[in-house]
Amino acid sequence: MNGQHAGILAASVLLPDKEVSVEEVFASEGLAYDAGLAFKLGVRSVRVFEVESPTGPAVDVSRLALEKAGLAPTDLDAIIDFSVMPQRYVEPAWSMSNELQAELGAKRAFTLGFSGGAAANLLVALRFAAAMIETDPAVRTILLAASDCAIPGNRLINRDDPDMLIGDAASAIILSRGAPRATILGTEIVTDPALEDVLMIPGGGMAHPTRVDLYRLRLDREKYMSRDRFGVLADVTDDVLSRNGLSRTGVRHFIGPNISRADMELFAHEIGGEERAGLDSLARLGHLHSNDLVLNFIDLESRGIEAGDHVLLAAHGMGFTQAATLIRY
Amino acid sequence: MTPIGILSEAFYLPPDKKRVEDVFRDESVPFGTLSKNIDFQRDIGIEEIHVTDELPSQLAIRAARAALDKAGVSPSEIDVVVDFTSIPEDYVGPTWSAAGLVQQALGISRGFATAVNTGGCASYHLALKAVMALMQADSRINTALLFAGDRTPDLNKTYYPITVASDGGSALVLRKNADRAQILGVETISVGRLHDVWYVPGLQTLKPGEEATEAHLHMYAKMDKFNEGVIPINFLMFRKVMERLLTRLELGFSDVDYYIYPTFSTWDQAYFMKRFGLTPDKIYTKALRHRGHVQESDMVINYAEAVDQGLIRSGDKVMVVSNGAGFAWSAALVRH
Repeated sequence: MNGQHAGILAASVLLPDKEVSVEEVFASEGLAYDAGLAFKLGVRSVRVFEVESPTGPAVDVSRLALEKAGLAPTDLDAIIDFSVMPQRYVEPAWSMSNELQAELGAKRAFTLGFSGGAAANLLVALRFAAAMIETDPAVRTILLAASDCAIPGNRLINRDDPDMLIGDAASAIILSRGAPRATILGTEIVTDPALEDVLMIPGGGMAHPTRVDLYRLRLDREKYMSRDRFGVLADVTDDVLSRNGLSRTGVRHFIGPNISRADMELFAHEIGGEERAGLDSLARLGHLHSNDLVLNFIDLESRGIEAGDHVLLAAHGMGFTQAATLIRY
Repeated sequence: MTPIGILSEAFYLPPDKKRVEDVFRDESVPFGTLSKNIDFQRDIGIEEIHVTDELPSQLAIRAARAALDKAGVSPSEIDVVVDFTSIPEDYVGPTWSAAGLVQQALGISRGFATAVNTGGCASYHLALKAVMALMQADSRINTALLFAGDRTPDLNKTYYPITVASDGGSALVLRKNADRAQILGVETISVGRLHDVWYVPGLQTLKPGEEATEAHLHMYAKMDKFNEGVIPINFLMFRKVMERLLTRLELGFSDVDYYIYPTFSTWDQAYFMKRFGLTPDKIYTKALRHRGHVQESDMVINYAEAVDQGLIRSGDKVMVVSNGAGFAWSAALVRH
């Protein structure tokens, strides 16, 4: 340990220009528009990338973050991908982190990504990234980036009684040793193995290599509802806080993902924060996987965070990966 | 820094085998010389490979169980589970990984599970690097299980012009303050411009009206990029990454007692030995003939076999070195 914590030097989000209304999403998926469902989801529109692969937006948003941080690509010691959705080619045989390194010209950086954490994937990446910065003298600055595009015709998850509506986005965070603000104090993670397949794309892997009909993001409703997601997330949150001598009353700002209106109301009730926080972003953009956390973090920063404030990022990862990160400004 | 050692390394190779001549018959493999009078089919040096119909995760589970048994570690002692598989898994990544499934199958009730993806066999080293950092940084993380499970599609055993792949799984148990096999350091150099020299297209590349076949999960090579991008720098990069690691540890090549290297082909092994002046007793090469390449698990399996055969002895400094599609060159130095 070098005794110096990692901090967030800069964060950026890139949203696509193209806007698609919730009515158009229903129509494109062959469903009659249902205003009640749309209200439950809390989404009025989503943004849609029209790109060859998700790498392009990842490159653009990473450049934005580097510029904000006042860094050159060659300042990066590592690049970590925290995307959730399929990328240009099949992972883990391929990783976007490598193409990102090449496109940015980050010649000194080594590359990796983390998989399977759903909306909490960012927090998993943050935990490992912070550990590398704290323990490896050669690692001072890390770019964390994600770019997520929905599978065509698969924005409503699940179609018959949707639990969420997926938008596209890319985001990036620059983590640096001794950054003057947004110090990462710790991350707590637990995974519930019974929910290991709660969120997945059944077709296209070795189990069903040719099942195009199963090449869709699917949330296992029965498993999803079988667990007290927020009960576990509350425990995880309290763990990271108590390790830092705090309780939830000591947290000024809570940030969670924008999964659906119902989910966000539960987050505010069970974890903390304002009930309406993030609802406007959800309405305009839909659920953006881990990018939600970066989006909401930037939104919070724009509204002002005072020095010394504690900020908590937390996500239940659809019940499988439950994680919370504590940040001090 | 708190020392971290490998308590155990274990693997599972399915019992069924396929003759490589049958692999070449069933797959479209070019005839003729690659370079310097090397004929891929004639000179590969692999006679048979392990094959199975099991899903990759099942191979991983068997290997992970074996690693826990060998280490004498109970599932309740595991603080973190990391999947370092480097080819397509049961379901599509990065949305899913086998980490949670292995956690469930082994009854690991606490901690968390995740997966490292980096493209290719460098996942072994990147997983080591990431997990070691986590263990150093967090006093509560004492024991880690790392695993991989790889099965190639039935008609994609040949990675021309490199090797022929076996199916199999491998696993490691790492523990803080373990005396055995202490990891002295891990170094990796990524060269992202070579990210698509090897790639698996997947259903995301399916064109409208195109039929999905298992070939969408085959590994493809961009031969021009391989020849122009990888070949000229391959052994330079091996030297660079090993030198960087040894320099950091204030050691030299003369301090290395033994090498663990991927099992690709006769010519690749011979060239590595020639470039680094290694005699056959300094490097584990004998698995090639009856196994071929098991992706990132090569490093674990070769290490385990070398230990079992008395080729790695207590106190030996072992350089575990690999390249990996993506592209990365990586080295770990282990004091056994």
